[in-house]
Amino acid sequence: MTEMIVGILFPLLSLVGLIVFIIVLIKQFKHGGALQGILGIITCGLWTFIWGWIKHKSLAMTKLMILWTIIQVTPLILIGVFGAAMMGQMYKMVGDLAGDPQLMMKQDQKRTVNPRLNRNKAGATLPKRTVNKAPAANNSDWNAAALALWQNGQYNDPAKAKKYWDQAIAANPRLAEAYNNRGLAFYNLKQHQQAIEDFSQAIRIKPKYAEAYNNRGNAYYALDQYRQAEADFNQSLQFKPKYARAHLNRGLAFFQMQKVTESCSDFKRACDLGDCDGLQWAKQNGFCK
Amino acid sequence: MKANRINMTAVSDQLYPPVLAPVMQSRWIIALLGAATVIQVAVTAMDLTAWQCPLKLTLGVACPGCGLTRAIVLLAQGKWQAAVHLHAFAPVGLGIGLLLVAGTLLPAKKRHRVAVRLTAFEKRSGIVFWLIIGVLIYWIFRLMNHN
Repeated sequence: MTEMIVGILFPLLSLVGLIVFIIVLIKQFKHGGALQGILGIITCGLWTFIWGWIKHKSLAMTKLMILWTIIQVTPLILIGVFGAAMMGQMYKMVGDLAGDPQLMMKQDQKRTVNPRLNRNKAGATLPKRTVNKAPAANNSDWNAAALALWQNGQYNDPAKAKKYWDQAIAANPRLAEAYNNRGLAFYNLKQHQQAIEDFSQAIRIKPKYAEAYNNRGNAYYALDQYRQAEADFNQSLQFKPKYARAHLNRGLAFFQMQKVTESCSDFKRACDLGDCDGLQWAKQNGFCK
Repeated sequence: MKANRINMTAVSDQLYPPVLAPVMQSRWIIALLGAATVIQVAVTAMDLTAWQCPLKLTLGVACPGCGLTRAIVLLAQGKWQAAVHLHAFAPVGLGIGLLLVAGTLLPAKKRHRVAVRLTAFEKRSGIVFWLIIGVLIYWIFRLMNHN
C-alpha cells in the first residue's frame, strides 16, 4: 500500500515539478533574457530555481516557488524514509502495480542486484591490482567514470558504462570486478546472455565471488531459467551465508518454481539480515504469514 | 569612426550581455549561488541524492548539464580523465564554482572591482555566450553518441 502511494506520488510530483520548471523558465527567458534561460536549462533547473526565488516578489510568483520547493524537497524526504533503491524504481513500478504480481516480482528482482557491494568491492580492489599491471591512473579513471553512472540500483547510462568497463578490461583483463560490473551494464541493457558470460568470466577469475554468482542468478532469473538461478544463489550463499540479497533472490526463484514454503523461509532469512522487501511483498500478496 | 565604434559596442552589449558580473555585484546572490554549488557538489560526493534534473527525472532525457556535478566531483578528486569523459565542461564548472565561492569571501570593494572588470571582459569576449554555445553543441553530440 505504501509502495503504491509513493509509486503514484513520486511520478506525479516529478511531472508537476517539470510543469512548474517550464513556467518559471518561460518567465526567466522573458525577464532575464535568452542567456539566463539557457543557463537555467544547462544547470538542470537549479539556476532557474534560485533565479525564481530572487525574483519571486517582483514577478509575483511566490506561491509558484513555494510549490516548486515542496516538490523538490518531498522526494528527498521520501528517499530518506523509503530508501533510494525503492524510489529509483518508482516509475516502472507504477505500471507494474496495476499488472499481475509476477511482473512486480520481476521488478523486485531487479532491485536486488547489489550495487553498493559491487561498487565498494571494485573501489577497494582496483587500485591494488592496477599498480603493477596497468597504467593506474587511466584504469582507475575508467572505473571511476563507470561507477559514477551507477545510481539508484542501476546504470543511468548502461551503454556508456559498458564502454567504460570495456576500457577498464582492456587495461587489465584479469579484473573480476570489471567483468562483474560490465555484466550489470549488459543486464541493464537487457542483454542477459552477455551478462551471464561476463559474470561467468568474473567467477572464473575469482571463484569465490559471491556477488557475481548472485548477479548471474539474477540474469538467469530474467531469462526464466529458475533452476540455474537457484543453483547460482546457492553458490553465492555458500561463499557468503549472510548475504541478504541472495536469500531474497533465491526466495523469488523458489516462488517462481511454486516452492512457497522455501520461498517464505528465504524471505524471512533475508529480512532477519536486513532486507525485508521480499517478506513485505509476500505478506501483501497473502502468503508468508 | 566614432559612430561606428559606438554602434559596435551597442551590438556587442546586446549579443553578449554580462551574466556573471551582475551576480558578482550582490553579495547575497553570490553567496546563495556559492552555497548551492558547494552543497550540490558535497551531497553528490557523499553519494546522496542531490538536486534532480526535472527533464531527466520526468522525461528520461539528459539535459546539457546532466552529469556535470558528478564530473566536478571526479575532477576535485583528481580523476581528470574520468571527469572530462563524464562531462567535458567539468573544468569550466569547477572554475565557475570556485569563482562564486571566492566572490562570496571577497570584501565589498574588491568584489565590486572584480565585477567591473568581469563586466568589461564578458562584453568584450562574450565568454558566457560562447560557453553556452559550446555546451549546447556538446550536448547534441552526447545525445547523438548515446543513441
